[in-house]
Amino acid sequence: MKNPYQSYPAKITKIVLDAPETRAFTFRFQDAKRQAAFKFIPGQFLMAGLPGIGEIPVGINSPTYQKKFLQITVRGVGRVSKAIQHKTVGSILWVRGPYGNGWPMEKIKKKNLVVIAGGLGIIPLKPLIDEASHSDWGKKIQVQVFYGSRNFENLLFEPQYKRWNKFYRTQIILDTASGRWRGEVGRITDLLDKNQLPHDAIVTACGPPIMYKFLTPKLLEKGFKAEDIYLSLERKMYCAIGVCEHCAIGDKYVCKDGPIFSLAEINQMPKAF
Amino acid sequence: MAKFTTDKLIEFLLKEYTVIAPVEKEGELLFQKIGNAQEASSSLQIPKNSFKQFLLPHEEVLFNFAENSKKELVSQAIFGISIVDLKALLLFDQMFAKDPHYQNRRQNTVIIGQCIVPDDPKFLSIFEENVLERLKFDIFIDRCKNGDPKIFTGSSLGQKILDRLKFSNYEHIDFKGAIEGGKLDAKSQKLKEQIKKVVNNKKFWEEFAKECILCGKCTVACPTCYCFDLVDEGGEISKKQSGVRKRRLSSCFYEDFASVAGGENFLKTKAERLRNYYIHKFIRTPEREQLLGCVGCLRCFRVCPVGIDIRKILAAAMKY
Ligand SMILES: Cc1cc2nc3c(=O)[nH]c(=O)nc-3n(C[C@H](O)[C@H](O)[C@H](O)COP(=O)(O)OP(=O)(O)OC[C@H]3O[C@@H](n4cnc5c(N)ncnc54)[C@H](O)[C@@H]3O)c2cc1C
Ligand code: SF4
Ligand code: SF4
Ligand code: FES
Repeated sequence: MKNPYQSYPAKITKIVLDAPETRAFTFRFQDAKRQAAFKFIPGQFLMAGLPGIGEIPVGINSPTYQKKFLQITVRGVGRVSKAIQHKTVGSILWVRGPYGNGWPMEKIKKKNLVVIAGGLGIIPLKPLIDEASHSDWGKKIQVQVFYGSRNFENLLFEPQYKRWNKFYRTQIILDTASGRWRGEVGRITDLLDKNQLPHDAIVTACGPPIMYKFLTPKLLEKGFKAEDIYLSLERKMYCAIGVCEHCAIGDKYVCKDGPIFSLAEINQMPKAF
Repeated sequence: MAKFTTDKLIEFLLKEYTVIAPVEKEGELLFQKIGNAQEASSSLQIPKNSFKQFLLPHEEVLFNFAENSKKELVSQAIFGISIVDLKALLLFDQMFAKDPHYQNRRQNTVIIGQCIVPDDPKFLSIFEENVLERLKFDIFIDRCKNGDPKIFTGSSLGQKILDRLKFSNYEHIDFKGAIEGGKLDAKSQKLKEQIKKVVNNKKFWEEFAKECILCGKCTVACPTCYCFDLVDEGGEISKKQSGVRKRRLSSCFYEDFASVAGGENFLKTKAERLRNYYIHKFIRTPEREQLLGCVGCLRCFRVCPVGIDIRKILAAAMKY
């Protein structure tokens, strides 16, 4: 019987400081066979950690077609995520996964796509954007990316924007403008008002709870159906396989049935008091 | 043919296994390791603890970063498990079906059941007809009726043990699955629907959780509670990878159960935590496992320092 709690060593090959306290770690499993066999769906996540310190759920941000390595982006906010910040090239990360359901790819391929990211929420959406700009199905549909960030320094994956923009419009909005910024300033919902939205589209969104609070009424107002709006949820996680119960909401496990749920499913979940 | 006595059975088991049985200690009945047959209590009450700690210990190593973990050698017999606890055992077997650590312990544990009536047998009335064919055990001793105990076996291991003791007067029962037709029974179905009706009723949960002191005793005592944290210990020593990953049982009543970095807590209030306990047992487990997540043992009520009574909560939910 396979041990579901076993992690596998992976060597860090590159580290990029992408935003304050936020680094992108490129790594590959030490076992070449494991690396070659690793497959995932955009939106899935890993449990990544350090021995003796712990592990945390993190989205995969490298493209699905990249077989040689994987990449995660970690913001140092607590014990484990800060310890990971201190690692250097050549250090070992312990990784297991992929976990979760991923974005509804089959549905997305048949419709248009609106990608909405707030803050770190861009991370699990990046493989989706990458795949859309790299595949035949992506050429056949209309794609719009909206990305909201606190400020300019916190924008992630900047070198990618040029390439993304070749395929579809990437609209960025900042909470507060800084000197160099000539783009939009405001809330992400402002972008929905200011832009022509593709119709018959699937919405894939990831961001903090506060963003969902304003975003979901706005999307419904724009005529998107609850079944077509997909949100990635955050919960405390330990096992990632639907046993430890930390991530449960109602009869669902965010780690196993999610982290991505349609708004229709979310509406059925118990409400927070 | 020899006459069946529990003493002879226990003495026999002691030769080959670590034996766990209900023991009377300081006025309480507790499952614990015994050294001889006389230590085992003949009481027909439900022990304060359950089989839980012997199959899912409070803490255990799941993974060693430095080397391949060796399988722990287990060879134990749990004597005197009640019907309600046998039901909880079914749920554990299902939840941990793919967990090699649990399975190693489970597959090397002899289960000897006993006909024990819970404090309030009417609560969730667990004594359906032919209940034994829906339970997993090796040997079952029915001493609830007058006269000689009736002995049942539920596995070939159970038969082998009795045969070696030359107790041939037993009846063998084949396991017919945890539930009839693989579907939740009508009563449990009804309970599930009723709890669903009060899920978003903030007042309902606030009222019942008012006195709760968030001690977590109910979750420790409950034979169907198994929530756990993963805890990594040890660590890298001068670039050499070492350390272990442990499972440690936790409680959904504790502050850090659903809290995340940045200050958000998805189970913030007492009411939300109590509701979560009931959602797990009466909605999530029935929906996913086709089993009720409560076996009606009333341990949660017996240990609760402020007397939160599951019977009252369920009765109130039934009125909606
Ligand atoms: C599906 C998913 C994907 C995520 N992807 C990313 C990502 O790509 N990049 C990134 O920087 N962060 C991501 N997060 C958030 C990240 O997991 C937390 O920031 C991290 O767990 C914090 O752990 P800590 O030990 O540093 O903080 P502490 O506050 O010290 O954590 C204490 C404990 O709580 C747990 N915990 C704390 N916060 C969270 C949280 N938000 N979610 C789940 N468990 C938590 C930790 O695992 C740890 O066991 C993701 C979370 C989820 C659920
Ligand atoms: S009665 Fe209480 S302790 Fe017993 S199984 Fe139900 S919830 Fe758990
Ligand atoms: S035992 Fe009682 S007081 Fe303690 S957490 Fe459970 S319900 Fe609350
Ligand atoms: S993380 Fe353990 S059940 Fe989801």
